[in-house]
Amino acid sequence: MFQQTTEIVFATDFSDSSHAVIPAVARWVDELGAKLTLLHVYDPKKVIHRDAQSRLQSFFAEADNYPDCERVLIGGDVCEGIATYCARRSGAFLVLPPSDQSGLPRPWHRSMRARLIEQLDIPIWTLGRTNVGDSEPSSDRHIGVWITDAEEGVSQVRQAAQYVTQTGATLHLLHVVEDVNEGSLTNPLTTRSPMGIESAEVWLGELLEGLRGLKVEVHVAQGSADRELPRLLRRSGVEMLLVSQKSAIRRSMMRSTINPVFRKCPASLICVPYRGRLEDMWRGVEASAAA
Amino acid sequence: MIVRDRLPLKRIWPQAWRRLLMLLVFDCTVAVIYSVFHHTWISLNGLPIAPLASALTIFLAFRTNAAYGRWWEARQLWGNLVNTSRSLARQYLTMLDESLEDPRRVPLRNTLVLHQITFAHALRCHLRKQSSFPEIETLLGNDAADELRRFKNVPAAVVLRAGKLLKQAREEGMIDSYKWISIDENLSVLANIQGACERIKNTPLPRQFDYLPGVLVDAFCWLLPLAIVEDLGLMTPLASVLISFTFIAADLMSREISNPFDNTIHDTPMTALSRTIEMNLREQMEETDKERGWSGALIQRRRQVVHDVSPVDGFVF
Repeated sequence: MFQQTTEIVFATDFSDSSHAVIPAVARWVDELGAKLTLLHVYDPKKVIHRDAQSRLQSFFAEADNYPDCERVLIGGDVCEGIATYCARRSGAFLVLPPSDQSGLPRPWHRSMRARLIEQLDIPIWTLGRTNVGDSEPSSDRHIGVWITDAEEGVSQVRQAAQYVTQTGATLHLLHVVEDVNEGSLTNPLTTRSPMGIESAEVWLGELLEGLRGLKVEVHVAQGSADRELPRLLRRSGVEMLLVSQKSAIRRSMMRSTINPVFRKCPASLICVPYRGRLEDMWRGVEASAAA
Repeated sequence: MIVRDRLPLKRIWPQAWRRLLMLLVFDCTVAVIYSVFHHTWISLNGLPIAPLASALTIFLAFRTNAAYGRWWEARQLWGNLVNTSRSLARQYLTMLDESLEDPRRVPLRNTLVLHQITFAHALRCHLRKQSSFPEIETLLGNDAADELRRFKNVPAAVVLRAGKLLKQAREEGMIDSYKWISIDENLSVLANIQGACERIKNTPLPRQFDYLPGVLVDAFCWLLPLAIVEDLGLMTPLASVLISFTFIAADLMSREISNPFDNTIHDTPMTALSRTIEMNLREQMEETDKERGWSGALIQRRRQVVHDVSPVDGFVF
């Protein structure tokens, strides 16, 4: 998952949640030994460059002591600015804290995180929710993978297993089997997902084949993912959850948002791009080149 | 730490809105039942509510005092750390007899000052449950960082390393026993400061002080509309919600300042204070190096000039 990571891009708006995730960023810098970039995109119509520069200089001041740290200030649209910056860096790992919760409904809110997760082909770390004053999970001894799709599941488990091998953490595989009724039969038929808890455990066991010497736990529940996933996370003690881009966001007619199920989750999230097809294509190119 | 004059409502609102919304619905229901449907039995005599409000005020004041006590003690401890760091740096830079030192190695005085800077950063990270190793690698080098990784309590290990360096200085004849004792006393002060900070971090307010005011605030807010509806009628929700908000805000604020090392806006400004320590000590060290004509590579470890940490949006961390 992080073998190619050369740069951690911490996109900040100086909010409380940006401050709250600083310990997690410090941990990533220490673990990956990568360059840290503090990225702030400001609106030139509202903020003057000098003020934005001064705020960026004072934010996460201890990063000045890090072996390799850069502060980057860009003017313009926030989402576009972050996307353009990250798109130029293939080895980037984006840290994207959520916006502070106001407690008020936001019917016209467009989730910037959801848009970036859709657009970018790099791993993105974020949190399901942040309330002012909440402490954030800062450990990664228990890594979870929420498996929703067989094909993507193999790729996710492989990426998580590499990370778990490096850190000596415990790998937890989580799966929620949908309730089966007449209306839901089409889904298992199209996705090849198992239809019962026992078959799901066998299916997850097959995904783990070839991964020896790892501490692995399998957690399966049946019912609605919105209700069961938070329960599984609490029961397993997962501190960091690996999810696919597809399961990280919920699309609707008007907009995409971060999947609301994560608002109830205490764990941090890593949305990983699906590399399965790319890897297959690359292998094909290599084979044809060798021939 | 908040340095701006006004605290925006949005900082209280996320934690208060659910309670206030429920109270508003309840207040409106009470007002309508009493004033529109004329069920006068719903009204309570205001007399028993007044002593409850008095008891609640005492509880809240007591808890706010206790929370402020913790916050202020944390700030004092970090003030003491700034002073002790400066004293230790002065002792390292002036008490060591360098005529006996190998001129080819980095002066021990500089290594000790860098350990003191590292201690301030490591203590901040330790209290915020943050990794201090990226900073330690820059300040003391990779070998020292790798050695310190073996310890769970990194700031205590940094003080231990400083103590060992002093022992080495004594064995090399760079300090006598009197000077050693004098410096060691200041190292003990560092250990005491760290211990006191850990005590605040790991010991929450007694649960009774934390829980009971919250329950009493809720009880008071639910009883209040019943006590004032007779006099205020349909205006009850307005008055009741305003009074309830005052009590709920006091309850929330005192709860927030009771944890001064939690990486929130109510924190002791440890980043700014550890930066102050670093800037002061580096200044002293560089001045001493100039006086003694030493220009080694150690100072160059800082690639960029560091500045004071200024508040961001009125908050300094």
